[in-house]
Amino acid sequence: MSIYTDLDFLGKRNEIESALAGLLGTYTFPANNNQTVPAIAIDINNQYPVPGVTVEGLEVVIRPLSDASVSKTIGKGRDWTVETQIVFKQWDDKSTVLDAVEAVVNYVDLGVSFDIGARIVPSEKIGNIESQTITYVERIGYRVVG
Amino acid sequence: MFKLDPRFEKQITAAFKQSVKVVEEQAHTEVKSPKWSHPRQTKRKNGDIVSSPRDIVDSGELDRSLYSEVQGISGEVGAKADYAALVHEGYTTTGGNDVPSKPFLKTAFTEADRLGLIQQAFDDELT
Repeated sequence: MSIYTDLDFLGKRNEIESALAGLLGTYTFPANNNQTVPAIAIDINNQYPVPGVTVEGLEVVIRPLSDASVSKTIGKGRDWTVETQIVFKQWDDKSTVLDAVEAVVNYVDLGVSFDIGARIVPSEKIGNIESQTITYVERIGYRVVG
Repeated sequence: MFKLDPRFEKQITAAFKQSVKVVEEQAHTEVKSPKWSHPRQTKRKNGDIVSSPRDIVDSGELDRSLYSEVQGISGEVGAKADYAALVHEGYTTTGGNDVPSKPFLKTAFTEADRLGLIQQAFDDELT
């Protein structure tokens, strides 16, 4: 199964949620009778979670990067690609993001390339939670120039 | 067994070494470029008040810590400052504020014309 062959972000969200069964934390919406949902979201403008929402455990934020990028290849070619970030945040200081990152990487079709960013560990000095970002690179075209 | 012409092999090796250096040079450029978005104004240790977009130079330690090295057919470009990963990857505070990533190495890798040098070595050999 390939979950990264198109730009269907809602489909990606649902498949990532399936891959992370049992690992995801929760969002709680106080303004909506404390409704609780799995802590996974598509965030277009770095605005999630919205103010007032509380997060517990593992949160996963999917960030489509807006611009296609063009990179040179040997042979005077150009690769056209789009990137999607998947950010793992662990709000429980007794857990890590490691199992979740591994689960998603193992779930992805091998034909897709991805960068695994450095795991940012909690630091009392900085006051940060643990996090790690995977960037999926989808090749949408190739062109030979000149 | 296929064997490269020693002269061509030397040329390709030199081009590869140069391409790694080009990525490091581009990383210096990326750090100094006022291109990085940030959601808030910040007062830096050097006294400057910066908004967005901004460069990633405060004390200059991150820029000075950039390095590159080549061993055989493997090249590495990195930053030795102990907070480099935090800057590169971004982070979330326990209070919920996101500090966005400023991936100066990743963009250096994509922006530098590293393949152009290797392509040139091939072109020189074939013409």
